[in-house]
Amino acid sequence: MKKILILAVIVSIGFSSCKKWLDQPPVGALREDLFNTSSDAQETLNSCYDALANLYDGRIQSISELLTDNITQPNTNNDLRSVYSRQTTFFNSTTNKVYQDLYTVIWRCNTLIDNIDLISDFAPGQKDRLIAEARFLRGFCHWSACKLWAQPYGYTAGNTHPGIPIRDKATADPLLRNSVKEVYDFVIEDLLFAHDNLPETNDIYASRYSASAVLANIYFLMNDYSNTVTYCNEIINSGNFTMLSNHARFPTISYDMNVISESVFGTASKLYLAGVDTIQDRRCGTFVSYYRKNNGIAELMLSQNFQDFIGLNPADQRKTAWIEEENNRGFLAKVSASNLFSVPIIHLTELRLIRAEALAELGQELSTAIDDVNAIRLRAYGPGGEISASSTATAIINAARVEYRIETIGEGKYLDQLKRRGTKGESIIIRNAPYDCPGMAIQFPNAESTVIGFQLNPEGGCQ
Amino acid sequence: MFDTLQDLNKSPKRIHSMKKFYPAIAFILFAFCSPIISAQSVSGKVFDSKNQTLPGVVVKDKTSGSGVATDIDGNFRLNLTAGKHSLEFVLIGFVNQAREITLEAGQNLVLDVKMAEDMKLTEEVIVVGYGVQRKRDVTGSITKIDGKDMTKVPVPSFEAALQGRGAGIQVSQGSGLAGSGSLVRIRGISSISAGGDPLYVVDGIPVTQSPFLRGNSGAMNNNPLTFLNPNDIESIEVLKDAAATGIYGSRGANGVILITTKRGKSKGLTVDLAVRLGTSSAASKPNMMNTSEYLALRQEAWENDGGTGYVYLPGLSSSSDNAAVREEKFKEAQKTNTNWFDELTGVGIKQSYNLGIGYVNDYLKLYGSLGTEDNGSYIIGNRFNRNTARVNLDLKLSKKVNYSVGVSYTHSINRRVDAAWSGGIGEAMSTALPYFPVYDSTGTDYFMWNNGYSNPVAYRELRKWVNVDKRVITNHGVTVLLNDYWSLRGTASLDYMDQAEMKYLPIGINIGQTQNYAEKFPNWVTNWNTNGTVNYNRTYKEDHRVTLMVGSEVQKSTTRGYSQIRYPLLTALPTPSELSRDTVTPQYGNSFQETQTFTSFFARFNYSIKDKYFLQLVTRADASSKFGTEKRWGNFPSASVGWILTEEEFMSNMKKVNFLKIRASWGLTGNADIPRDAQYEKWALSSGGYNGLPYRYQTQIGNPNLQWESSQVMDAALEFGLFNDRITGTLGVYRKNTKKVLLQYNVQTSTGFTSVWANAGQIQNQGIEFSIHSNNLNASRKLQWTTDFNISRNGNKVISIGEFTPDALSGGTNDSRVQIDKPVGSFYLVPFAGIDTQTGKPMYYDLQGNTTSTYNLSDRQFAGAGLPKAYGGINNTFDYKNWSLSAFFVYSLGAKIFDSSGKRQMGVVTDWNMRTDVFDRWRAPGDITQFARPTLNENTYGLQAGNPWWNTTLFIYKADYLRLKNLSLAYKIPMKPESAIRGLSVSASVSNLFVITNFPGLVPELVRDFENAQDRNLSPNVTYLTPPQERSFFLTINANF
Repeated sequence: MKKILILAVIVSIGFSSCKKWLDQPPVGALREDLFNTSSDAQETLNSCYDALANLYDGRIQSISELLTDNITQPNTNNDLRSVYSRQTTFFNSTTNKVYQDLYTVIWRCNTLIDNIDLISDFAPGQKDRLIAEARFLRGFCHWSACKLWAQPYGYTAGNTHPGIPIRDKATADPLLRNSVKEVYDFVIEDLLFAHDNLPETNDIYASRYSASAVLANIYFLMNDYSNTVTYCNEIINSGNFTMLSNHARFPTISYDMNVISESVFGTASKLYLAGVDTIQDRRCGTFVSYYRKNNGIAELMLSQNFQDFIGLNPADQRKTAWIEEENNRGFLAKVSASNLFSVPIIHLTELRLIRAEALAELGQELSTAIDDVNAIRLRAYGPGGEISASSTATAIINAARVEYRIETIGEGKYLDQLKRRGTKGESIIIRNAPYDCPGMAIQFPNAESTVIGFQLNPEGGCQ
Repeated sequence: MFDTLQDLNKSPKRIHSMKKFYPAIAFILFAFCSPIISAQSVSGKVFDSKNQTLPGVVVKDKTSGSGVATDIDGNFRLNLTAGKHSLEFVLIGFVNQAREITLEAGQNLVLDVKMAEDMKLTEEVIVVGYGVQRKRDVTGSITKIDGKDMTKVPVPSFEAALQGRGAGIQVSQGSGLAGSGSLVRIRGISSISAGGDPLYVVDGIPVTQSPFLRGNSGAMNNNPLTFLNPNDIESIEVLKDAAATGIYGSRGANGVILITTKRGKSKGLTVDLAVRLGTSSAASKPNMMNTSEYLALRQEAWENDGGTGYVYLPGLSSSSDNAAVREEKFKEAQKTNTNWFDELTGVGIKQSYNLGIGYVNDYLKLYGSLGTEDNGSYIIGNRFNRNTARVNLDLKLSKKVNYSVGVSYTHSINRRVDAAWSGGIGEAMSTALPYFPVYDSTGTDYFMWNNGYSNPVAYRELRKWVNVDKRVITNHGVTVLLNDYWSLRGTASLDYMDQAEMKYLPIGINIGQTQNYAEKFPNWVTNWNTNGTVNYNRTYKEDHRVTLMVGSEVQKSTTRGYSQIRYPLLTALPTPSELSRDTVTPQYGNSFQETQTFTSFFARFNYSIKDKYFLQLVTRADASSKFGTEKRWGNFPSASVGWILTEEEFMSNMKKVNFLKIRASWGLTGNADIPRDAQYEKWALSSGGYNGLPYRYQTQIGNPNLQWESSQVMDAALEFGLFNDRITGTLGVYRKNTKKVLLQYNVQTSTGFTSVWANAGQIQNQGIEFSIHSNNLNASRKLQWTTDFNISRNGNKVISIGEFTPDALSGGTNDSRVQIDKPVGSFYLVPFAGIDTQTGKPMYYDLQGNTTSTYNLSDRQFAGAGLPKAYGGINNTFDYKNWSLSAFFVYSLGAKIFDSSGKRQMGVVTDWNMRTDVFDRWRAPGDITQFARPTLNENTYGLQAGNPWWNTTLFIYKADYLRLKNLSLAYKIPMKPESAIRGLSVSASVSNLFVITNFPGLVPELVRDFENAQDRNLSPNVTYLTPPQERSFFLTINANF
């Protein structure tokens, strides 16, 4: 009996120490350790920017550009060739990764938004700013995904056509596609919150004007010209941003200057000192590896269509500044070959061009619109390149569109405008296929459609 | 094995104790009954086959009923009346002997009797996990394989030698890479994302066995099982049903393979020496095109697509080049014809030397061995070298205390080459085009294509790449006999593995590399295991035998390592020993450490009546650190019964059936072979992120509700022995129903993650197994012929997978998906509907069964399964005097092979070389061909631009085969009894001599490199540039002293 008692004691001790012994969490952080202080929250937000900067290094921009007639068929990359041919499938690992990375930013923003109430040591206003930045990035990435993976706003009358899933919490709940209207409503809500809660300046991070810039672009794609003008005016009139005097939009950065004066929102590479070594943080690699010439060839080269377009005006200085030619091949030298430059995602030049077009559409303040267009034309063609001060609204629109296409070459923006114009009823044919042929919406990743009922995009139809 | 003896000693009725137990009883019983010496008597000695005297043999006169037992020296004396008598000599564990004698009045007959040990299955001992049982007592399904079978064929590691040796054990031998592992499945597959491999237990230790400790670096999964020298194996027991595996509880669902190493056996000193020399060559060679064939086909494709002039050539010209450039490059290409496969392969040399020493006296039993093996594959530069040492010692410390210790050390060096997708002969079957020369125009520098970074010969020669593994396994065991019934046993063991993959990379190997450097990928696995059991063993009233074992076990396993250690700025390549001393300043990558703990309580109760009715109850409670607090514990009970019918009166007339037993079992088993941290949400804290600031982010979605996968297993079998065991066999059936299947499903991409762990779904396996051993000729003949045959049929079906589409669970890149009502490991492809004879374009079936020229991934459907429906082995051995000839065949029926590389080797003409199969192609309207019109444009085949990966059933093949795994002729050299050499034999063998199959590819038995356990479960029988198996010729010499 005594033996049994001793055994029982040993067994019970064994059991009680068992629980702890059986907890073997992985080395690293657990959620309990994560959201304690305001710097924890800031570090979480940092990870959102980190992911965004790895995505806007040319990867997402080139996907968009491949769907226009600005560039040639990719040299060797099969995934990019599928995009160019508007024949993406759910096995396209390149587009799948871009999609995933957009949602990586979204997820990380959600982890901050979901957990921020656990933290109490914020400085005044800090919490609102953190949430506003997170919601800015969350809304922006939803919008970016919706533009590529769905037919554009305006494709159906009520925008009831399928958009993308809205993920507003950091949970893996199965989601189906929301309608484009729902997506735009969600995005605008996030951005308006951001707009109202972000500071006017915020180092290289999202400021109130970043939100204004995205809102201006969104409203423009919705053909909501007055809101476009409102938000453009906020930015342009703020005096915080100035036009470049040259064409160096993607210049090699220096230690004390890593963001150009035109950049209203962008991601930054960095050259900084750590100890005795110079550290370079590159967030532009895909631009260089896709566009820049290497052994006489590049993965993505400028199409004859674009080269002809930019060649229409022989005075265009951007041709020499941005285009390298060799053996009848055109290379986009707009991005620095240095592999160390920042990426303006929305800049003053494009905002002035869309304001000009919006004002012309509204038939208001045409002189402002003409000034906007001429600010760019003067820089591009030199004195005498301006449009007439008495230009009609149509002339302003046409001029703004020409400059928009050239100014944004390689930046992945032109596609949005082609689609917008298509939804307005203009006849937009891109490489012999209408702007809204099925293949213009990139196919969702295979894994996205593992939820029963998830509606894939129809494929093909763009030959 | 020492615990074997201990367990047996507890059972008064078990073999070894017979000799001690029976003398006492018999002596007592009969000594007093013996009449006083009378006029006539018979007396003598009883010996065993080794002329050792046997005490306790009951000598009975059937005529009078009187009897006596032999004394301690084997003497007996029985006084009888004059006349005829029938004497019977009985000792359990030995074959009964009968003698007819006639005693004259007053005669004292001297009669010495020799008794043969009973080798029948009835007395065979089986290792069952935490103990042993007599085979006749076993109520579970266990296949025992003799260690000798492990050394008959030179295999990369022992598990490959299990192939065909037992029913229900399905083995696909790995590729021809030196040291590669096999895919072992016990009774099908019941897991999806958790490991589907059986649990390997060596001398009681569940050893480190994961094939993914190094991912699939270089297109090869590591194989921790190579540590074991097959010459050290005494026996292997494969536990298949719940009654057998139940004692391993949560880890038994996929079967358990118990490996028992050799221990000292016969008294005195014994020395065994084994030498093997052999060769390795590719069992088959790929039929890649030569330059003129490839250029002609490419030109035809170009012209089919509307091209004029000469076609552009990968590596030399591009589609945008003008006609003159294309022509120049085409003519340049015609000057070279390289057979890359031949450049990379040859005849490998294999040699192995093994020395085994045994010493046994009354107090100790010792087994020691030294082995060295150099196993060259047919791929130049690829060889696996293994040195092993082992000491197993059993000490009898006192009458009640026994101590055993085993130590083994393995040091192996695998000289690696790239394979499959990673390069090497994989490249020879894909992007190494025949018009690329090995050397450039200088004749000494390698010709490099692909921007200057491809040439498999250059890689082989310039880069050095070795895996160095060191492994120590040591275990200690103490057994204490408390009294006649109770005993205690405790063991403690350590399995320590030090693995390092090392590469030396000179400039020119990687794009952008500006200096020579070396890199090392080390990891260390420490695996502690300790268990204790209390055993009770008692026989009541002779007929009721009760055995109870209660125990507890804890295990802790830790894996540490570095993502990389880089040795920069080397001007010359260091030797491995220099590297291991870190003579250059290394740069350390991220370190990692993962720990898992495991604890269990278990009990086994056995009850038998009259040695013919058997009952076993087992339960085991396991807790694993892999599951959250609420889901941690799992209970895995099982119950089984057995009945030996031949012990019954009603069977006594059926002389031809000497043994007949039926048994049945039911139980629950589990599986938790998932990554250690699958349940956890994981986060990373990093410095130097965007804007140079620290940042934190989630790296894994957790699932605190993750729990055990559990299988309900039912099993029933009939075991038989006919004609005095000339024919023995087993017929078994089973059904296994697995629920709460552990799934690592592809989570929606809109989480930003790729996968999440969950439990869902249900899988069913059921099957039938039959094995038979037959001595085909009468034992008295000089020519002996024995046949072993086994066949297993397994049906596997996914009953449900929860709320997921097939694409939620995929096998790596292998087009295998989990599909309802289909087997685990099924392919999911667009059905191919032949070639349109008018256009030469391929056609497909859509989901409605209509033909279409559009290749649509939404038309993918079930396209066959990779695991066979039936498989087994046939071995025939012929013995004549000192000669022995054996032929061992293995076969597989009903499986499909998916040739995933065929999509590119026989599809759209791209930058891959192609197979000559494609010659059977469409050229003109009306042609009926296997392959479509050659094209460079994916759209011709209905594929999307940029997508030459042609996922169709065109590349699904039947994988039925019959393979002569081993043919061997052995000769035993006769030795004089006084010779120091007890035995000397020489044998010549060939493995993989031929295979009968319709599969048009390399070999119909495949194990490719896998990405993870799920891929390994879902993608059996997929080839992706997988190196073919080897064929080897070898000579073996065995000497015993």
